[in-house]
Amino acid sequence: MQPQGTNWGNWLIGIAAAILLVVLLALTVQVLLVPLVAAMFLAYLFEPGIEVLQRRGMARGKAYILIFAIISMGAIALLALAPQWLSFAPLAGSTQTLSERIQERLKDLEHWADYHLPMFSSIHVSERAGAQAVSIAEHILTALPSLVTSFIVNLILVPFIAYFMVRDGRKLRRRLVEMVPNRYFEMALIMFHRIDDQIGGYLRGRLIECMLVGLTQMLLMAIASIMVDQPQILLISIVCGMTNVIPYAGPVMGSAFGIFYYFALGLPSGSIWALLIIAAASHVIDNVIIAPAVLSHNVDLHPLTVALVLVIGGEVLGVLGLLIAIPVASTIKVVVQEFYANYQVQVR
Amino acid sequence: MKRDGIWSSIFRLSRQPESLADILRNIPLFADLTPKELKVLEEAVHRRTYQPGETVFVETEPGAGMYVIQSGHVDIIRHHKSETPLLLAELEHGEFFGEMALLGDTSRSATAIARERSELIGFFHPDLLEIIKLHPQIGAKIALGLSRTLAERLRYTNDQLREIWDIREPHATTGN
Repeated sequence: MQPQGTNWGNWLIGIAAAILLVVLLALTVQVLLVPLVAAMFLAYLFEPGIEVLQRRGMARGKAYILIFAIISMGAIALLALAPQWLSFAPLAGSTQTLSERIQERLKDLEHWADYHLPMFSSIHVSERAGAQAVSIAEHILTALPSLVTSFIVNLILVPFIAYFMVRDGRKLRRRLVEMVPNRYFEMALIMFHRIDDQIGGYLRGRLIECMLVGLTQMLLMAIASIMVDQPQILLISIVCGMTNVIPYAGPVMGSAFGIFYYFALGLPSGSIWALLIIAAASHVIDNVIIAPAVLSHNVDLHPLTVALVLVIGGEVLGVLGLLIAIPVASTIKVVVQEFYANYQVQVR
Repeated sequence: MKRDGIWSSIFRLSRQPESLADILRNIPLFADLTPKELKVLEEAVHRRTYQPGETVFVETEPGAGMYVIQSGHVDIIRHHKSETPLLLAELEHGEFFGEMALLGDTSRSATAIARERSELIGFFHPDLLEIIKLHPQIGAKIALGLSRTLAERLRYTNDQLREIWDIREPHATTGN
């Protein structure tokens, strides 16, 4: 018989190892969640191109590298050769001057409201909003170095992870399905296929839609810049395109960013109004022309469900949560549907 | 041609264990595939082992695809109301079943149960779609083989129905 002490010792070591494993797993997920999600987006986006090259006999890994190289070189060439109105311009002024500018603009707005809307004359938000804006701007400036570092790390890490996802993803999925017991094997196979098909189609559609929305925004701003001042076209278009990936709230967030930015730059109201009209126009073009053509794979979630999962996603994981809320909800829906169909057969 | 004892012994001695490609080649669905194309198919199929009495699939549940028996025996049965299950077929090495589910979104028309320890090769709807997407020529050949098999089954069913019809109403047939 083993002594009691050795048993306790084994238990303690086991518990310590389990805690260590959980902590390591949590840390890994926390650190790698963003690059993993971004890599998944990238892999799904490249998939049609990879399949075309695969049909011509190229290996998946090599096909990914080729497409990635072409797109990267294209992006670098665009940034290097782009005309002035496309290039990034640095934010002028220090935090203080920016805050002063914001307060000044808010005061102007208050004066305008006092004159045109006297019923709101008692509401004075300029000082409070100004202080809030300064605190946000200071927070951004403080966090900027770590943000830049994490951006650069992700810029290297994301394509690297995406490469392995593309190269070994199917093998991994096959291994996972092989581990499923015989009774649930077919169900698992169908489930994986449906999730891949639905999520892949949705993400590709959404990403292509976002790119087209960004391009539309860029084009409209370029046209508007002939008449009114429209700086930072590339930055605002990219933000509008990226935020468009979030249903309903995304276009509003993108436009709000652009308007706040112009507001902070102290641009004349004509520029701000033009930006507002452009944002509305690109949203209409998106809904009438782009989305129906591109989003053939609808995840078929009720609008109320979409709103709910967006709120939950945003609350739990912030911006990342907003981005992955719909794919995750859609995956859960497919899993529940498959289990329910299987359960119904067993009950019968 | 009749083989004599020496030759048959030599053949028996030189016989290699049947490869996956050999089994697949003998299935009508894949009969048109070249050895190179069979290699692609080999990578797409799944090998599963079933214990005696283990259910492969159940009648009415959603089906994902077909199975080829690599070794062992599989019983195909059908349940009737207040009756003992009806044994439709006893399948053995090299035979296949469940091919209708390859078309997708169909429910199983019967139940399949392994009679003994059986090794099955599964080929499923998602695998077929992937082959069609990445190797359209192979996909077309398999689809044609599947159509041919289903057409044969349909012809057989029609013949059976005609026979039943003839037995029940011998004077009603017009001879068309």
